[in-house]
Amino acid sequence: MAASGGTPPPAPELPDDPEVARRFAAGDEVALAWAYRRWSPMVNGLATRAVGPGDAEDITQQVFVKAWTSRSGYRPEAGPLAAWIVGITRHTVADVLRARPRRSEVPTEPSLLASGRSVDLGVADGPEDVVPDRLVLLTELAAISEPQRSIVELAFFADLTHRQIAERTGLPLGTVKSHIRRTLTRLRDRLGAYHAVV
Amino acid sequence: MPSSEPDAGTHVDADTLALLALGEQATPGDEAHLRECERCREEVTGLRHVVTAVRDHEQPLPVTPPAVVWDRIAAVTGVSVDRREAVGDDLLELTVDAGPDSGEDDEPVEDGDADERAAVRVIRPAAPGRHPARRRLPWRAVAAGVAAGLVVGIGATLALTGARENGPEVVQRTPLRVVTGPAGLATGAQAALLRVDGRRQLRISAPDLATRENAFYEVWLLSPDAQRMVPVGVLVGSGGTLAVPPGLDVEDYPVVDISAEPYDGDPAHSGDSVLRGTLGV
Repeated sequence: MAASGGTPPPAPELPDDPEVARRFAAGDEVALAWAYRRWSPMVNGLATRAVGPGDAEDITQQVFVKAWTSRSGYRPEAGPLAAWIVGITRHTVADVLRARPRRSEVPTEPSLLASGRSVDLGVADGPEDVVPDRLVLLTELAAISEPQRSIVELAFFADLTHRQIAERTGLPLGTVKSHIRRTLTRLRDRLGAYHAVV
Repeated sequence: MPSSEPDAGTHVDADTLALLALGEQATPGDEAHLRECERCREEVTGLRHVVTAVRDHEQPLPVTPPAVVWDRIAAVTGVSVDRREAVGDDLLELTVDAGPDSGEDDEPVEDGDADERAAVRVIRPAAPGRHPARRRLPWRAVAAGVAAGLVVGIGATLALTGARENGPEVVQRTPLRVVTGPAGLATGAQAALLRVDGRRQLRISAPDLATRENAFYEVWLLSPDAQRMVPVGVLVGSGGTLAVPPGLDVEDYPVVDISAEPYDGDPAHSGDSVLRGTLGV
């Protein structure tokens, strides 16, 4: 293929989560790449919090290798691929933590677990301990298309009011308001669905 | 019979409920309704949970791993796919074991002496059919606020083997995203926290930052809630390296902010933030 001038084509589009899950279960190799692209930040973020940055990348690598080699154990009907991958992450993290020399017993404080702030994922019990909500929400936000995503990011992180967002983006006020509502609702629903299966 | 909600037709508008969840001010009428109406209250509570969680700095962030992690996964599993399906095309790589054929490209950060540039070797994924060294990544600019969800994490410290003994060590880096203005304002803008000879520097690269008539750009480090801020220095041109105050804990001030400042002699932050990014915490 001859080299050509100009900018290379944009990266291929990522299909939606259910399609990634279907193709993954079917053994389509590209679906592993998609799953990595979609959920490696979540896995790596979890691992970083649980074991620190030094071992996090190793865990991320192990998780996706394990997910692929044991893909016959995943059924799309049973739940989202993301939740199944998080399950693998929990086990991998638990293995790493178990292998570490134990300094002292880590007490499992109920108040820590309830707020999604658990550090040691290996001893987590309820669904809210498996993945802290922030991680799920920001991962879901990453899959939301523009301009909704930017609008909501401005509201979340730059603390702009809907009026300020409308001024900054040049979008109509009504559009900004309805994007905010629909996106927040969607994030809430996705979080709820996640808790329901995990 | 007592009802937990007023007449169906008088509920608070759904859009407004979402804005209330974000912390915007309620009208007295809406406040009164919410006191009476359990259904609307629950809606706000559910949405507010999302907002609170997203803003909760104690909870972990997603951390994009460096693309080399994908390479290892592909090698171990034997899957053969276009690398860009896994890593997209907007990640900048810093890698330790760059050999002579690895396709070094021009360093994106323009300032810094030749020795520093040589020590910070940038490898980009090669597009099929193209000479790796000639490729420029098409950075996608996304209009957004603080990029809390997209920190490119390459570990707390990345030591560059093969670098000079006192070459720069990248501690953390972040893409800088547009806070205000058109999305194309600053494609490829980024900030990197470096350690050189034991001293920390903040290296800014913003090649597309437009020159302004009556304002200059200033670099700040902000606390996560943007209530406290430390001025780092003035940004001249499209990039620069600034010293980070030695006693400053970057974990307390992880947000890199670039503001447009008028020439009014007022040292305070103008409030006109142009670019922002968050260093990995």
